[in-house]
Amino acid sequence: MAIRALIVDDSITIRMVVERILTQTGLDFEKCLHAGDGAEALKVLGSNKVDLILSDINMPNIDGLELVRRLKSDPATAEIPILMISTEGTETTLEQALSLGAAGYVKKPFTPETLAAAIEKCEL
Amino acid sequence: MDAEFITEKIIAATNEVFETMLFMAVEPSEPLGDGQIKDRIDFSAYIGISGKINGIVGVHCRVALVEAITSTLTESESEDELIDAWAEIVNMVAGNLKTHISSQVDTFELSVPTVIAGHEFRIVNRGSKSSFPRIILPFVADDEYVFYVDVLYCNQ
Repeated sequence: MAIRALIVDDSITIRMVVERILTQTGLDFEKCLHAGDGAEALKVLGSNKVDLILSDINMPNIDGLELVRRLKSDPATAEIPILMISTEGTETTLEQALSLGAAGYVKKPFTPETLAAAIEKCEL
Repeated sequence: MDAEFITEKIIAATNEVFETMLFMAVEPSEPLGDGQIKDRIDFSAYIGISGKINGIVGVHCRVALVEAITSTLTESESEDELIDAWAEIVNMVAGNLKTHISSQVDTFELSVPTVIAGHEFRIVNRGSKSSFPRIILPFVADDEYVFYVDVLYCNQ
C-alpha cells in the first residue's frame, strides 16, 4: 500500500524539494500532505492519518522538537515514525530529537538513496 | 585555513546542494576578486557565520535562476516564493559548507538567512582585506544560469 507522508517545514521550497526527492526513492508514496510549522502539522494530523512524518527542526510557533514531544505523548500519534530533516542541526539537537522519540534524521543536502535508507529503517 | 582549502569546500558544498536537492548540474569558474562581479544581480542572500570562523556566506544571482528553480517545484512564482527559495539555497550552501569544514577544523554557527531582492544596491566589505579574506566563486547552473557564492571569513 502506498505510503502517506506529512512534510513539515516553514519553507514551501523545501517541502516541494523533499516531496520531489521522495518520488525518486523508489518507494511508493501517495501525494504528500504539507504543514508550514508544528502547529499546522497538529491540525493536519487531527483530520488525516499518515504513515510517516518528515519534519524540520527550526520552525515558528511549534518547532520540530516540540512537535516530536507532543506527537509521542499522544497515543493517537505516538506510533507514527518521525524523521527529522535538518540543514545543519547540531548533533546535540539531533540527539535530543532522537531521545524524544524521532526515528532518525537526514541532513540536507541528501540524495534519494539516503532518504530511502532512513525511511526503510522506520519499518513502515 | 587557506583560501585554496575554503575554495575547494565551497565548490563541494555548492555542487552537492544543486545536484542532489535541485537536480541542476553546476560548474565552477575561476575565483573573482572583491568588486569583480559585473553582472546585474537581482537576488542576494546572506547568512552570518560565527565561532572559530567568523564572516558571511552569500549567494547572488539573476532572477532567471530562482524562477528556473521554483518553476519546477510550485505552480506560482510570487516574489515571496522566490525569496523563500533563495533563502533556503544560501541556508543549504552555508550549512553544507559547515559540514565539510567541520570534518577538519573547528566549526561555526549560522545566523538566519537574509535576502535582498532588487538590483539597485552595492555591497561593501568594511573588514580589512588582510583580516577578512573574501572568495567569490562564479558557477554556471545547467549551462545557462550564472550565480556567485561569496564567502568572507576570518579565522579566530
